[in-house]
Amino acid sequence: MTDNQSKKILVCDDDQGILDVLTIILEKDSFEVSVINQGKGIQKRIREFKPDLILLDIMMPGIDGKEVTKILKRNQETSKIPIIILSALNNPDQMAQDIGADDFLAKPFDISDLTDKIKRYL
Amino acid sequence: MAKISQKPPTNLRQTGIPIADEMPWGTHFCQFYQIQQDLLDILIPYFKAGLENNEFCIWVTSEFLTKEEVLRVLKKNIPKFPKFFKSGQIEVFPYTDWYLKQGKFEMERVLEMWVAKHDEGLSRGFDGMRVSGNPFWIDNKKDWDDFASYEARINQVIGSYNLLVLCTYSLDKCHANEVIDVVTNHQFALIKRKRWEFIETAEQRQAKEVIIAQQRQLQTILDSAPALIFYKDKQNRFLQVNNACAKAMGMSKQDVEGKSAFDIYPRKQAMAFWKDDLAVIKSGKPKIGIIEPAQIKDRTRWFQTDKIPYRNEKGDIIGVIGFATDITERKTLEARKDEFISIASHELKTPVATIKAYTQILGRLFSLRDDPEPTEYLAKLEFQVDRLTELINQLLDISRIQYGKLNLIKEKFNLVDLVKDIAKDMQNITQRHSIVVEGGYQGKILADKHRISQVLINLISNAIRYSPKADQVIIKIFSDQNNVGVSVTDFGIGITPRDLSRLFERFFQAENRIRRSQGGLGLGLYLSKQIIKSHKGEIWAQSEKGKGSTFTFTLPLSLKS
Repeated sequence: MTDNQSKKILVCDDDQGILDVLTIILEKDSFEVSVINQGKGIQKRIREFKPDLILLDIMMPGIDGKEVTKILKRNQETSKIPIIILSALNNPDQMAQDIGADDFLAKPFDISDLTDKIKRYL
Repeated sequence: MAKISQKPPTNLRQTGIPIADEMPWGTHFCQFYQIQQDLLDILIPYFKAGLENNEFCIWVTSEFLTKEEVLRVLKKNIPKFPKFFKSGQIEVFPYTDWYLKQGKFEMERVLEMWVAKHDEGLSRGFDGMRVSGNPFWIDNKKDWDDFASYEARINQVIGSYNLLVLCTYSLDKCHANEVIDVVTNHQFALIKRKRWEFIETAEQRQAKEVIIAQQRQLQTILDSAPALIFYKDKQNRFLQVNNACAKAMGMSKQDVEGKSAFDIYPRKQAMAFWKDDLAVIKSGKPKIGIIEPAQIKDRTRWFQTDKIPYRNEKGDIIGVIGFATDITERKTLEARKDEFISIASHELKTPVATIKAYTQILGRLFSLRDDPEPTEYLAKLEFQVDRLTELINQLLDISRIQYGKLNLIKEKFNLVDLVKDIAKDMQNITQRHSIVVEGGYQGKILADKHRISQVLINLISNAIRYSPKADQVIIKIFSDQNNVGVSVTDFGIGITPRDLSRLFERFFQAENRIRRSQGGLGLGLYLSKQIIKSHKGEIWAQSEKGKGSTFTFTLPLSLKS
């Protein structure tokens, strides 16, 4: 686990319950975690926090996950950061592909599936 | 297709006679006269209207007028008469060449002559035929009676022909008895006292009033109906529409009637309507439940329409009758409902995701301790959470299937590997049964892996659930040249033949206490069937009560490529 210590994950989801539980899971795996509950302001947060990976919800008020992905993937500074879509929508796989995210996970998820996916990118 | 905007040929003809105005085909009427001018007053405008309205005309001459005189007065009074006469649109016969052709009056022969002329007229492209005749030559009671029965016979048959018949009678030759015969044998009589008058018997007037009242009543019924009702002719022109139909089209009845769909709708839509109409006209069979959009005042409305062949009294198809319902609201509601279920399912799954994650965190914490009890309970809790997720997904799937939105995402995969993976996963939820996989299939299939997994999970969890006392579930994979299939066999409670036939219906659950206590929405098998059907495969069940059940599905191997 020590090799995760220097790795940072940004979680973006409008549901506080999800943010809390993901923080617990990821901190147990020794990641440094930052959470943000809306798409607005995510670029500023990325500049400050400099995440190695982003877990991103789709259905959020205001700027949704689709738009966030498009913005981040268009911008040279952020385009290399892996984005894993974490959504309760049906067919998040299709959605992730369509918007150019790196991977996806359907809610509800298995913790082991989540950590497997993260490992793949870090 | 040519743009058609003139009025379609109607049943109503202009008689040319002011007091008679328009009369439908099949009108048989008479006039009484005393002098030559009386005849000319009526017959000249009568034939003028016929010639100008594309009708074949036959005038059998009578007293006061020889054939030559008739031609002379017509030429004098009708512009372009020589052209009409030369083209053969009008024929004039002396009565001796018509009624008394073979020296005496024979009803059947004369009727046949009229019918032959009528058919000749239609085949030459005329809309119908108008004629005039006169029985002034009758000089005995027997001939009069024969002629009266001939007139009565005309009344019986005239309804089937495009025919107007005007008989002229000399008042000087008719006594009261005969006047009564004449008036009763005709739909109405024209007689000149100070001016021309229109005479009907009370009986005829009553009959006509009844018909008019019936027509009005029918119109009232049609106009009160919420359904959109219309008749169209074979040229796709609206003959009649009811109030609801005119309103839905955003036009007045007068504006709709006589126009074709091509005058009203964009070409592509009109073409679609026309195709349906044509199918009904050609096959003579109704088309039920056509769902089509129509552009009305720049807004798209949706209609569900039944189209039925429109037949005349002889049974020939002369057009289409349509009954339509505006289902735009329903369509909008369906879309909204789908959206609602979509959002509801998303909102439900979000807290479920959190519950599942905490359950797993707790499971990991307890697994480090010595006490197995909490771990066992947490596994059960998580199993129930997964069931809840499955139910939420099913609801969404059902809503999609209902609107035909179950989009398959096909990929190539190894079916045997998938079955083995799922069997392994499912083994975790039962200690009692061992799940056995038999048979095999070399090669990959092209299908929606996620949906096929759904079917397998549904069949295997049913097998486990409905065989609480058995210790085995057998999954068999098999193939032939055209299909690959999977069967799932349990040794449980089985299904009655009655339930077996309804198993794949929506919301069906066998009437069985054990089953009901197992919960579920009764959607699993319905969904499985829809998924297999959308892969063009088949699914079925075999069972013996008390011994167990086998559920089998097959997928066509054409899915391979």
